[in-house]
Amino acid sequence: MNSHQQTADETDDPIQYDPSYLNSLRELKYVAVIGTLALIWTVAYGGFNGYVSDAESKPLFFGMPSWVAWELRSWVITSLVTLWFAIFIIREDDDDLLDLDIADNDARTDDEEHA
Amino acid sequence: MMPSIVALPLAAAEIPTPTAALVTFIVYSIAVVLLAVASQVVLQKRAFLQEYFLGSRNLGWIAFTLTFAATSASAGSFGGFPALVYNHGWVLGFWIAGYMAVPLISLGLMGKRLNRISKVTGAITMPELIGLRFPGFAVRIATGMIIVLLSIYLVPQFKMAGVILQSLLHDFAFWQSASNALQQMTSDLPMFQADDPGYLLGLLVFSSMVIVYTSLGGFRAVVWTDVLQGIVMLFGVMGLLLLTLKQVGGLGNATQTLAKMEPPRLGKAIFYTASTGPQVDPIRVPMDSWFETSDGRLFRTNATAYIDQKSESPPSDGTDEAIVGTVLASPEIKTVEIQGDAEKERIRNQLLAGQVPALPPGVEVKLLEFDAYAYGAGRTGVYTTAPGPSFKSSAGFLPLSLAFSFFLFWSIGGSGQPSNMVRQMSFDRVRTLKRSMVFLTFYFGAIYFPLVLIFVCGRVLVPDLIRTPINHGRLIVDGRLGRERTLVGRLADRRPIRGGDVDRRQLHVDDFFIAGARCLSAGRRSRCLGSNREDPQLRLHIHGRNDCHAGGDQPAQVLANAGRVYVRRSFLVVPGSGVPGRLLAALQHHRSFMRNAFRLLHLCFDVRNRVSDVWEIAGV
Repeated sequence: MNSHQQTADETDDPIQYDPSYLNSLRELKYVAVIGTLALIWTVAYGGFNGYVSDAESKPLFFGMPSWVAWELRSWVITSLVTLWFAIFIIREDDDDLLDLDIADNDARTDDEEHA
Repeated sequence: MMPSIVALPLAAAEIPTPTAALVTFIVYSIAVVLLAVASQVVLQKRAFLQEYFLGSRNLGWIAFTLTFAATSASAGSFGGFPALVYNHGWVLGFWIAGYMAVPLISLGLMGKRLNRISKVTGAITMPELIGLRFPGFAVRIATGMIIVLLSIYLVPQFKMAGVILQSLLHDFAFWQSASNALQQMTSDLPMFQADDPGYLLGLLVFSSMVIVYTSLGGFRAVVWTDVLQGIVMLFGVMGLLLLTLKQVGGLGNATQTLAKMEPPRLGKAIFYTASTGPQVDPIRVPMDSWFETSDGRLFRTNATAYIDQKSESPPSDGTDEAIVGTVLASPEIKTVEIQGDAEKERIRNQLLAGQVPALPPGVEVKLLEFDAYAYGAGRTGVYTTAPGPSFKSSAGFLPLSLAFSFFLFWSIGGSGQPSNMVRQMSFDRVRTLKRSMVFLTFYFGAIYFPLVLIFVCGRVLVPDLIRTPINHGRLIVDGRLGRERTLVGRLADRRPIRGGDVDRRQLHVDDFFIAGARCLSAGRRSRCLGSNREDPQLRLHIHGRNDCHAGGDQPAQVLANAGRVYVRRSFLVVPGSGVPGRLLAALQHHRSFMRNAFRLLHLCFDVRNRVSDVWEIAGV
C-alpha cells in the first residue's frame, strides 16, 4: 500500500494524481510499445536474414549487405517514430514548474537588491 | 568495372611533424579554459548550489542534446567499437542497432519525471533524489555503487586521453622536455616505472584540465565542453566517412571485397639468420611486414622482429631439418596468415604493387603453430553476415541471443546511467526535452552507423592488423660501422632504459639508433649535436652520472654507465672523430638538409634493416 492509497482510504476521496504523472504514464506506454516493436523487428529481421551461410546470394543495397540495409531502415523508421512521439505525444505539462522558476528568480532578485 | 583501391605505402613512411595536432590541442585547451572562465562568471551571478551542480536547471535543447550525446559516446565509442567493426565486419551494425531506440527510451522513459521531481523536491544530485524516494540505508548503497561504478567507467576515458595526447604530441621538444622532467620526478616511485613518461604527462595534462574546468565552472563548464566535443565528434566522423569512402572506391566495392575475405589464421613466427661470426649487425623485420613462403602462403607480422638472440640451433617445429651452427633468431612474433586465394591476390596486386617484398638478405622464417578462427574459418562471407567471425567462440561474435541482449543493453542501460540522469535533471522545460529527442535521433544516426561504414572500409584498406603487438624493451649492441665499433639501437616501447638493466649483448630500437660512443661519454649533450634546443629531432636525454666515460670501443659500457637513456625520436650520435662525426658536424649547420638526411636514414634503416647499409645509402 503506497502513500496515495493511504490518503484515499483516509479521506474516502478518489485518488487525485498529478496530471504530469498521468501524462508520463501514458507516454511510457508509447515508449514501451515503440521500443518493443523496434526490438522485435530488428532482432527478428536480423535473425532471419543476417544469419545465413550464403552471403553471395544476398544483394547489396547502397553498398551494404541487404540485411544490414534493412536494419538501417528500421533505424530510420524508429527515428521517425521517435520524432512523431517527441512532437505529438509528449505533453508540455510543466507550466506550474515554469511559474515556480519565475517566482524563485523574482525572490532571488529581490534578495540581491536588498543585499 | 570495380574501382581499384588506392595502394598504401607499406614501407616505413615519413611521418610529418604533427603541427596540426599541436595547434588543435592548443586551440581546444584555450577554448576549454575560456568556457570554464565564462562558466565561472555565470556561476557568480546565480545561486551557487543550483548553478554549480545543475547549471541552474536551465539548459537549452542544443546544450542538453550535445552534453547527453557526448556523455553517451565514451572512449569505447571511438576506441573499442571501431576495433570490433574492423575485426568482425558488418555484424556490428546489428550489434549497435539498439542505439536507434536510445533517444526514445533514455529520454522518454525517465527524462520528464526525473526533471520534474528534482525541481519539485529541489534535489541537485542523484543520491539526494534517490534518498528522498527511498529513505534509509538504501541510498547509501546506491551512492556507493554510483561512486564505484562511475570511477571504473572513468578509467578508460582518462587512459585514452593520455594515450592520444602522447601520440599526438610526443614529437615536440616541449613535450619531450616535460616528459623527461616528469620522468625525473617519478624516478623514485616504483608504481610509475612501467609507464611511459609521455603517457603519464598526457594523463596529468588531461586530468588537470578536467579538474580545473570542472572546479572552476561546475556543471555548466562540463556541459559547454561537452557541446564542444559533440560538435567535434560529429564533424570528425562525417569528414572521416567521406575520406574513407573516397579512398576505398565506394561502399559497394568495400562490401564486395569484404564478402570474399576469409578470417585469417593467427600464429607466431620466428625470424632467424645464420651467424657469420662473433659480430653480426642486428637485423630487424618491421612490424606489419608482409612476407610469403615458397608454397604461396602470405603473412603479415603484427609486431617488430629483432633478430638478435644467439642460439646454437635454429628454431624448429620438428618438421624441418635442423641447421647446424650458430644462428641469430628473433623472439616469437605475432603473425597473421591471410586466407583465401582471392584475398591474397588482391593484397599482392593492389596493396603490394604486384610483388610481396622479400625479407632482409639471409633472413629465414620459421612458422610456428597457426590457429584457425573458431567460427568462420575457411568461409567467405562471414564478414558480411551474422554472427560474424570469432577467433575464440564457435558460436561466432554475435549469436542472436547476444544481439537481443545488446539491443536492450544499449537502449535501456543509457536511461539509468547516473551521468545521464543528472543531465536529465538539468534541462529547463519539457519543450527542451522534445527538441532534444529530435536532435539526438539525428545525432546518433550520424555517429554510430557511419562508424560502422568507416571501419568496414578500414579493413579493406588496411587488412589484417588484428593483434596487439608486444614491444620488447631491450637493447642490441655491437653493430659495426667502418673501423668504429658502434652502438646501434632502437627503443621499442619508448620506455626509459636504465643503464644497469641494459643487456649488453642486445640493443633494441624502434625510434632511434645510436652510432658511436664517445659523445655519450661526453655528458648529457653531445657537442656533435649542438644544442638540443636547435632541433627537436636530435634530442638525446641522458640522466645519470656526469662522470661516466668509456672508450669508443665499449659502447655498451658507456650506455650502462650513462644511467638512464631516454630517447623520443630518430637521432644519431656519432663519435667526435671519424667519417660519421664529420658528416654530422657538417650537417649541423644545415638544419633542413640534416632533417631530410635523418628521414632518409630512418627510411633506409627500415627498408634495408642493416645499419651499415644505411650508411652506404646515406653516402657516408
